[in-house]
Amino acid sequence: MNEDRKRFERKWFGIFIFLYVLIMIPFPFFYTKEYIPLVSGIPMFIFGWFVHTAVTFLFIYLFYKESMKRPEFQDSAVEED
Amino acid sequence: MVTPTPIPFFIMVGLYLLSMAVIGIYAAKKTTNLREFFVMNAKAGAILSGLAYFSTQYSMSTFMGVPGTCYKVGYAGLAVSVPGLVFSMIIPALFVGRKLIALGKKHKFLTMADYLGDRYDSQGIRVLLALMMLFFLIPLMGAQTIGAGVIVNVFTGLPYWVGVVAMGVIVIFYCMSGGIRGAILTDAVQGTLMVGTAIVTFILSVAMGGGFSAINAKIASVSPELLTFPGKGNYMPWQNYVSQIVLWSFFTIGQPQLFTKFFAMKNYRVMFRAVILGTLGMWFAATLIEWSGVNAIAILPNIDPKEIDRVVPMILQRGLNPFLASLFISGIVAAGMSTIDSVLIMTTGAISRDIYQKVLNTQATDQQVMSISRIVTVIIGIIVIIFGVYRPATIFTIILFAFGGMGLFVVPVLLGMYWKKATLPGAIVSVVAGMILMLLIQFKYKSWALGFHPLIVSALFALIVMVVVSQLTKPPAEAVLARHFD
Repeated sequence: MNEDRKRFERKWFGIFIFLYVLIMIPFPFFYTKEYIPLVSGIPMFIFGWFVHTAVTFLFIYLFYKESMKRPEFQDSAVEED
Repeated sequence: MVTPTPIPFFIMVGLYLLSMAVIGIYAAKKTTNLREFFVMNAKAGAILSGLAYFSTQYSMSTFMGVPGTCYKVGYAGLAVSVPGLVFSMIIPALFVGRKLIALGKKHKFLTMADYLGDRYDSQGIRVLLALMMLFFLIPLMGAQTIGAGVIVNVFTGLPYWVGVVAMGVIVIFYCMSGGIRGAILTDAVQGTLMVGTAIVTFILSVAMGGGFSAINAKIASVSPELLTFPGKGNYMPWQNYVSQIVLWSFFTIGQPQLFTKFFAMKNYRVMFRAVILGTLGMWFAATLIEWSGVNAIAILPNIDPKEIDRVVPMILQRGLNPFLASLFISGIVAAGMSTIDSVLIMTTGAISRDIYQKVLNTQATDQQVMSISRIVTVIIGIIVIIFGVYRPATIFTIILFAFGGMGLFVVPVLLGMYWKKATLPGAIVSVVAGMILMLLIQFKYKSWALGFHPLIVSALFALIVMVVVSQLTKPPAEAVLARHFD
């Protein structure tokens, strides 16, 4: 694996692991024992999850777009023997 | 209480089951070889792959057990799926998906056992996986039929076993004839129906409750615990919150029925698109159906605790005419069927390929194996039906147990993929040791898990065992490493 590919892999692995660990941290907007209503009485942590999901989803899309520009993700890289 | 409406139910659910059978017949015509039977010749596109992945992972418990739990414990119950579901596909794709697509095409792998058998250069690990699949996945399939039995019973008044048998027979039919093509095509229809059911149920629940403000005011008056963590009855302490996120994303890597989906994908573009589509499907299906369970606290107060699993059918029946209600109840049945079919194909492969062709009769041709696969599908299907009729525990309990057991395979899969020193004795000892620890925690020493799901502690233990044993045993052959590493 060349250096450029390693850098690419490490970058995206780091981004997704950061987001993955982030949602597990008991910030009040993800996990709280206090009732904090935000809109129409819906608890704040529901919106925290939604925002985190949207951000992660955006990164999945960017990962897809960046990957598709790279040679190792082209059809020729997975051709059958 | 659900009022029986047998005629609309028979018409709508009957039409749904008939359409599944028609797809099975169509798929059978296309299924002419073993690779087609197990991985659709590795030609599945993004829509089929994405819908099939999400509808296989999300089962009867997503539409019955978890909404019932949310009804009981409040908003904290949504943490079973919602905070972590965006990782359900990207984490497996990131860790193993990309490598599996390449390895599958290069070495013609069809199943998880093919990968493990080749990486560890052993038939023994194939047999171990096959036996564990039979032990854990038959209950997983049986749990889905339990839901069908309950639905048929409450909507028609017919005995519980009728639903179990009806669901079992249809799934056996289209899997036996159409293999994975039958499973994936029906999954696509079922996944769409599941999303539709979730959206309609959610809209109905909000409308019936008079809007979010009215619903949440009512919930607060019932019990403030329902609006925050850890939920009523201390259901979701932080350890359980973390466990649920990790369980339904990272540990899906060890589930053969999901692992194999990567072998069926045509290329990386398909994988990424499937991740995007599947994740969207999961978000709509799980978030909305589980949130409906919370809304039901306000609109259906005082449901008998024994009937809380029926909260979604109750909402549909209250809010829609009997025909439309029955159509969307088919979406719940679909959730169960779409899980059973993929698992049934995998367990079939475990016996027909991993035990019969690779160990008992190494001279067997692919055509013979395909014929045997069809017979095995029927036999396993019948055992599943018997399990469902017997009903040893609740749906969610069985699923958590089964999912946990197979999740241990994440250790030999990941180390095998990323660590050249991972050895066969390390892989086998780690899985066996992890399983023993998990069963001990599950049934006797619950405190050992420190509040987390037993699989998390057991997998960490299995990881340590595998590293230690691999260091002490002979490294893999160079030829094996050359096949699996760049």
